[in-house]
Formats: sequence, C-alpha cells, structure tokens
Amino acid sequence: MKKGIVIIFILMAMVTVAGCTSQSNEEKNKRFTGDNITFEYPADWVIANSQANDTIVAVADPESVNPQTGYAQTLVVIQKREGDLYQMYNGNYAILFNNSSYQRISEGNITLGSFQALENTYLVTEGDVKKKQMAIWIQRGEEVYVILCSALVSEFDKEKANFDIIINSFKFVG
Amino acid sequence: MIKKGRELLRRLKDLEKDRQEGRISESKYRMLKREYQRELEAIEVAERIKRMQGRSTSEKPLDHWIEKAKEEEETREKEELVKKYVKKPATVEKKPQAPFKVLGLILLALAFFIGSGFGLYLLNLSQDQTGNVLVNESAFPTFTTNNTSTTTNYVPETTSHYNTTRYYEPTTPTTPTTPTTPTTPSEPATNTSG
Repeated sequence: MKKGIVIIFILMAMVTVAGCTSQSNEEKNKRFTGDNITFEYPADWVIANSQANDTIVAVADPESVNPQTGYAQTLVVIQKREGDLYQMYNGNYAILFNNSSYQRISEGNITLGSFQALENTYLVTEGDVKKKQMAIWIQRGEEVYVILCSALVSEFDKEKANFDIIINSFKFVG
Repeated sequence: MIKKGRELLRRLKDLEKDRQEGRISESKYRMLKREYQRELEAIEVAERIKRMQGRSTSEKPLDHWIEKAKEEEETREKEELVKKYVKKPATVEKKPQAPFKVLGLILLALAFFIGSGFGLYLLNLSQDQTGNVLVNESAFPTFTTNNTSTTTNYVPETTSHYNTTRYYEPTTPTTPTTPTTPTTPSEPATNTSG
C-alpha cells in the first residue's frame, strides 16, 4: 500500500513538474502573433485594450495602471497606417512639436532586422504627469508601422529592457 | 493366498501402530512381527513356486501388494514429516489483492488528472486576459489625428497646398476681370485653416 502511495505521489509530482516546466519556459517572455507581425513581450505584461486609432496591438504592464485614470502608463502600442514613411513622420512631428506639451529629445535612424527605421524620442507633459515616449517608424510596402514605447519619465530607463524585448523580437510575418 | 498375504500386511501395519501408541509390549510386538513376517515369507515362496511352475494367478502377485504397501507407508511417512516440519509460507491474502489493484489504478488515474489539471491551471494563470488593461497612448496624438482628413498624407499635402496657394495668389490679381476666378482663392483659404 505504501509503495502504491509513493508511486502515485511520484507520478503526481512528475506531471505537475512537467506543467510547471512548461510554464517556466513561458515565464521568460510571451509572444504575440497577428496582423502580419510577431514579437515577444515580458511575461508579466498583458495584452491591453487600446483606445487609440490604427492600433494593431498594445501590451502593457498591468502594475503601471494609474488608479485615477484607469490607463496603463508603461506600455507599447503598435500602430499601422497607409502612407509614406518620411512624409508621415515629418508631418506628424511637425505638428506634434508645435504643441508645447511635446518636447523632442532625440531622433535618428536605426536598423530593425532587415528594415531601416526612424526613431524619435520625446517628452510628453500632461498636467502633472511627465511621460517619455520612443516611437520607431518602419515602412513595409504601402504601410507604415509605428512601435510606440511609453512610460513615466521616472520609469522609462527601468523599462528600457522590456521595451528592447519587444523591439528586438519584432518581426513581420506573412 | 494373496488375500491372506494382504491380511498379514494389514496386521503388521496395525502392529506397528499399536507399538507406536504403546498398546502392546515390546516383546509381544517382536514376537508377533516375527510370526507375521514368517507367514508372509511362506506365502511369498509359495507364490514364487507357482510362478516358476507357470501357473497363472488371477490375482496380482504378493510382491506387488508388498511394494504397494511399502509405497503407501513411505507416502504416509513423508506426509507426516511434511506436516510436522514443513511450514507453509504465510498465506498471502490473494483476495484483497484484486481490489487493491483496482484502487491503485483509480488512484493513478486520479493522480494523472489532478497533476495535468494543476499544470494546465498554472499555464492558464500565465495567459493574458485581454481587455483588463486600458491604454490610450498613440504615436499619432489626438490633436494631430483631428486633422487626419487633411493630413493623412499630411506633410506633402499641406506644403503643396501652401505652395499652390502662393501660386494662385499672384494669378488672381492678373485675372481680376474674369468673374469665375473668385472661387479659386477661397479653396486655399479653407485648406490653410486646416
């Protein structure tokens, strides 16, 4: 009888450990695939419900939700619009930086996989809240994809590693 | 004759038994045994003579019965010895084994399902629950997207509009007399406001 109980416990442990192992592999990162894109994002982040237009997908740190507004403050939104990269980029920021709430920090060219991309980093002030945002613009065919990484100024550098997970794993599929 | 032989054998057996149980004295036992054995030998000899003379006997020879009696005696002795010295191993209760096996299998199946369920539960914990977290950030902020109808291809369009406006402005004075031209300046005016 004792032997049987021991065997049962061993089996249970094996099955449970197998489940946990598979979970621990997942714990590193999660992966989103859809709408011709795929990327990894941190395991403790979640797919968020974006209210912004042209959003393909948004992922956010659920712990960063501002209880007053109900919106997450550490997030990555991926948007898509049809058009020309440089025209859209220049036009967007020409208007954006005319607004005093937006303050340019840096911009430049980067390479994302096999794509040349534009990067723009800026500060956004909304009342007492100061956010830092980094947008990466990529042209693919007739469409322009924008990866917007956003966090509170105080949190942005800490979240850089998480943003990098998404940016570095971002790929087009299909 | 054979019957008599068998009777003698039976008597010898009883004699042995009586002796073992202490019902007869040793001297009487010896005396009777000697007597029976002598009679048996006589019968045996007579049987042998008969066989040598070729006279068939309907019954089995006495030797056969003697041998059989010896064999029976040996078997009985062996059985007694076995009973006395050979202990059967503690009888394994076979009946409870069957229900234990079934119970074991049920427990194994239960363990498997509980384990798998727990693993799946842990996996599900890590899955997303879309829609719980809201975000409203955009690379195209609201105040710019309000102009999207005119600025979807904004930069080139606005600049080109500006250019055309400037282009048109000088042309309008050159054609002041034409009645149809007043409509053309009004177009850029609306565009520049956007």
